[in-house]
Amino acid sequence: MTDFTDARQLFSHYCRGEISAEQLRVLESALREDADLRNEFIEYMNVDSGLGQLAALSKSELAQIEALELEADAVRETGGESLKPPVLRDAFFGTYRSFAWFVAVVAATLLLTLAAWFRDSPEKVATSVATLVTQVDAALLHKGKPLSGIELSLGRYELSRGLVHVQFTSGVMLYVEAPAVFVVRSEKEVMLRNGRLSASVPPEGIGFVVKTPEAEVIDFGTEFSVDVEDGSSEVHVFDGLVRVHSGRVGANDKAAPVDLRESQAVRITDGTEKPVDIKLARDRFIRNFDEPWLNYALLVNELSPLAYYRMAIRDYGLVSEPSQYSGVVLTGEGKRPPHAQGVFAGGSLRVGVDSSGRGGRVDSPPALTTGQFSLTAFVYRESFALNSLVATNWNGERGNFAVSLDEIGALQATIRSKDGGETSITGGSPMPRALWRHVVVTADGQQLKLFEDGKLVASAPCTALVASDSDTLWFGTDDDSNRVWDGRIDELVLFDRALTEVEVAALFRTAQEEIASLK
Amino acid sequence: MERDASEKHERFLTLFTAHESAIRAYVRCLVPTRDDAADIMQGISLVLWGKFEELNELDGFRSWALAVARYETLAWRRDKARDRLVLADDVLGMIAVDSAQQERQLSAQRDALENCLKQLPVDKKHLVLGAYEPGVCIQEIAEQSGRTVSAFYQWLHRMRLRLRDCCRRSLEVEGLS
Repeated sequence: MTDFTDARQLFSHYCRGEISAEQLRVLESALREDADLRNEFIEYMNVDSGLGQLAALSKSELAQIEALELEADAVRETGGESLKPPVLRDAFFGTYRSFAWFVAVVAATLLLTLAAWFRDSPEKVATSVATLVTQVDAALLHKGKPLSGIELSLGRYELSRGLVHVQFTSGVMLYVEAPAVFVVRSEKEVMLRNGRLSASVPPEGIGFVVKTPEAEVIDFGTEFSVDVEDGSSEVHVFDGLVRVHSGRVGANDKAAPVDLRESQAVRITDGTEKPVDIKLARDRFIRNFDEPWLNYALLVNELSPLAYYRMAIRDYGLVSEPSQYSGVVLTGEGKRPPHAQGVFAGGSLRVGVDSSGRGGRVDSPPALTTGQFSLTAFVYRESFALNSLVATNWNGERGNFAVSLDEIGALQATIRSKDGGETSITGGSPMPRALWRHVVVTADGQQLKLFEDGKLVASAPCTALVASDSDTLWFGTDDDSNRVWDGRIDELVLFDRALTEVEVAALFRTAQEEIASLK
Repeated sequence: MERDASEKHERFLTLFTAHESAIRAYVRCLVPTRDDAADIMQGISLVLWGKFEELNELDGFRSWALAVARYETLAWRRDKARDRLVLADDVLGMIAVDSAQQERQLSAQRDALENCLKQLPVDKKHLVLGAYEPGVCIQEIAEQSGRTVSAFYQWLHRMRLRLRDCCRRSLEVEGLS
């Protein structure tokens, strides 16, 4: 019997001209016998052909098409007469490869059309309405091309990677997280087509509007975030007051507006009139790139740390205090940035889940040579992944500590002693999801202790820690990259002494006060 | 006289431009690689232009062009592809008949493709288009994506299937499937 699953695999071999005689016989036989498979083959080759034609359009042609489509959308949305992008697109498509002279004629005609159209539209003159203040590992496209410079003019922007902080001339600050598509319509209006943004609006920026496909958010001096995805828009207000009009953009029959105050949030779903109250998502949005020195950080500094990783959102890696122990943020494939809202006001390192974050690596870590050690951090688990790492310098016979989840998802600390022995303790109960937890591990040469949220949850006798000098330090991963943390890590501190129980309690109490003051 | 020639040119170009995508896709189903299809297309465009005067009904341009394409593809196979691994004549005949019958739907599928491509994450979209760029070195694209060439081809295969599924859904929504 012919295995049609295998035959489908052969489509790919055939269409790149790398099929063996035997494979060809299998494919031929399958196609001969099965009309449905033949149709699949035809569709597959049709997609292949279509992709070839799309790719043959030059980048500048694509940018022109995109610009025309965007402007046509804008005209449609404001109720005006629209250009007809499909017609324009067909004009481009039809000219593929052959008849180069005809390509030139069409391109020239289009350019003239474009030139005339832009000339006749004074509001479309490219004037800057906002400035790019910070970009972190960002890929920001404007009308299909990478943004050149730091000035943002009107038009469509696509953030495919990273984070950007944009300041409008009206004083409004926007923080946008990839993936997102937004259209800057004026210094006081942005259309968010999809993705997440947070806005901070000073008094001079009052009246700033964020439109989405499902809603219009008018600000009255505040801090709020908007999330647009899959036919629904969410508005979360962290400070001040915003007015939300639900209803499709351009529709005349909008429902009555809803005023949202601090700590309120709503969801507006396409096709429904009334916004639905939802829980405020404090942890979801990156609302600032600043990493203020709050009381917790000041207390940590008083305790004389060896290295303090505040997980600030920076475009120059994983920043340490002092800076000689700084490292790199590891990235791979993923939808969202390797950063997220931190436990306090700043950012955190995001690893795994749907992010491109694969952890952090420090190639020149501080030496641990006193036989004692402490590690403090905040961790936030976003999936039920087990055995994942928070931090370690363990690599085969080298390294002396690891903090991770065990096989049931409970926190676990392991150290290696001078005598070559290993000591391991575990918190015993699985760490909850979507909650920040304060973790402290201390080893004083006699006892290894694990504290969670200020409480001692496990301890075991141990001997002095073996010295480590240049063993690479990993956050959220290790040398094998196969125990990747699924969540966030923040405010990670290393000491070459054992913190006392009083100091651990003081740190947790200060953190609680800090979190309460930010709510 | 010059004006007649110019009008003829214009009529031909209008028709060829409107149907080139369909002709190319038709040829693509009948030959192993896109480069093969591109070679054959060059010949087809010249034959179509040379024989354009023989076409009595302009409405029949597409069928006529597909028939020419079929003939040219067979000629290519006879002349240049003797030592190539190409599907057997009887299978190609079935595919030619099936694809000509589904031409309208396949055309709608290609129209939907651009939108489906846009729905992919930008990095994936760029990789897919990068793999189809004329003269591309697949090894470089594979390296960019962090994959071996073989793993990249596997990935590309999955992306084609994903795009095909997306096109199917689009056509269903539009009632064209």
